[in-house]
Amino acid sequence: MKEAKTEITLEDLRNGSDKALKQVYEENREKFLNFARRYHLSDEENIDVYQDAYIIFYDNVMSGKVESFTSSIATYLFGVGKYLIFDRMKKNKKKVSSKFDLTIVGREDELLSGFEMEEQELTTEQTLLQKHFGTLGKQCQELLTLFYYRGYTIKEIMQAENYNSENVVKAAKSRCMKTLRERIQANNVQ
Amino acid sequence: MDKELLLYNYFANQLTEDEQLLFDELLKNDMDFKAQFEFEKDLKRVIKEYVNEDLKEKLVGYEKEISAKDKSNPSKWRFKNWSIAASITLLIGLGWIGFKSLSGPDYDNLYQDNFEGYPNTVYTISRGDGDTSKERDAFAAYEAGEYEKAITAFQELRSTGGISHGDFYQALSYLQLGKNAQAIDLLKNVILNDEAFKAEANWYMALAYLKDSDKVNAVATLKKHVADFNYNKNKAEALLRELD
Repeated sequence: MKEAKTEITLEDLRNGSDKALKQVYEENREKFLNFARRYHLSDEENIDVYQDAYIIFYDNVMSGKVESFTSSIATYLFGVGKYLIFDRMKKNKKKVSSKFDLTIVGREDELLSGFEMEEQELTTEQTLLQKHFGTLGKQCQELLTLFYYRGYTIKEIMQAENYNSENVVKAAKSRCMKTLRERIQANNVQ
Repeated sequence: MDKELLLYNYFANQLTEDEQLLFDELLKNDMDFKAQFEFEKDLKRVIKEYVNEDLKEKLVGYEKEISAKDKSNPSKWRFKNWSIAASITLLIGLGWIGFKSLSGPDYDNLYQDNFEGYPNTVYTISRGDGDTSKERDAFAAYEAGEYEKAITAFQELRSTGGISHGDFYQALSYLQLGKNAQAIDLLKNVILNDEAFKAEANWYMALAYLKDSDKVNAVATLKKHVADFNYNKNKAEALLRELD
């Protein structure tokens, strides 16, 4: 009945802990669904929105857009969720009261100002890149994900993945990129 | 400067102001540099997509676990219902005259199964924001579950002109403390004056009547809810069936 207080820290999430991921998801789910019901989407849609909001929140935590929790995790999720719900309602051509819209969303603008919300669909080149990224070895995928998604520096990658030196990481990264380019080129030649 | 280092610093968010100028210049005039930048930018986007697909799969898995749990463990309410029914059957079997007192709806259980605190969706609490307003105090106390403190703050705000949706959150604070009469008074105000929270207020008012074992008003409020609102409509219909 009372809202449980989460003890999950930003670090737990940034470290990629599956336990933290699940706990935060479960702790905020009912609260979110209870709040989302007011917008008259179906239960299925509400769960879908919750998951999308959760992914956007997670992305922003991972990319360092959230440097510290200045508010409860639920507040971030509600903020993103409202944005997604209004977007979905507009797409469904449902009426959104402008007064209501502004009252609720306005105050969270600042909290979410640096947030990256929804992305554009992948371009043809990106889809091709995605296909070949999936064929890289586990180690290459991990290294590139740490650098481009989680914003690790070369030094941090060296420490996290037990490489011998920064130069070894740099060389490994170059090799992975070269392999990726070659596979794409080979694909284009075919 | 090494172009590769420049790109590295860009993606590591470490470009200095001078480097940023050089970076912009190269992007405009050096096609190879631009191509390399676009490639890495696309890669960053693709990796995000890759991670997100993986994440979505995990979340769908969590949902499956939740619905499997719901199916394998009959809900608390159904279990309680079953227990009550079994007890009554047993008591009838034993011929206990007093069984009649157990046969009415269990208002407290119905309330517990349906009441869920309403989150603060109105005021964003930012810890480092330096905002020391009474409104912030009220919502911070509400979020922290300090309902007495929240009530005092909302009350003070009302005496100085009031704030948007203050009555709704004060009423919810009263409900959390079991002060149903005070909650009902405020919820009536909300229904009349606060369009954005009208449906929620009506729902919580029905629950407050339920908690008070006031079947007549609970049923009337729930009927109105089913007729006028979509918020928690299914739950309201289910409750009406239980109270029938």
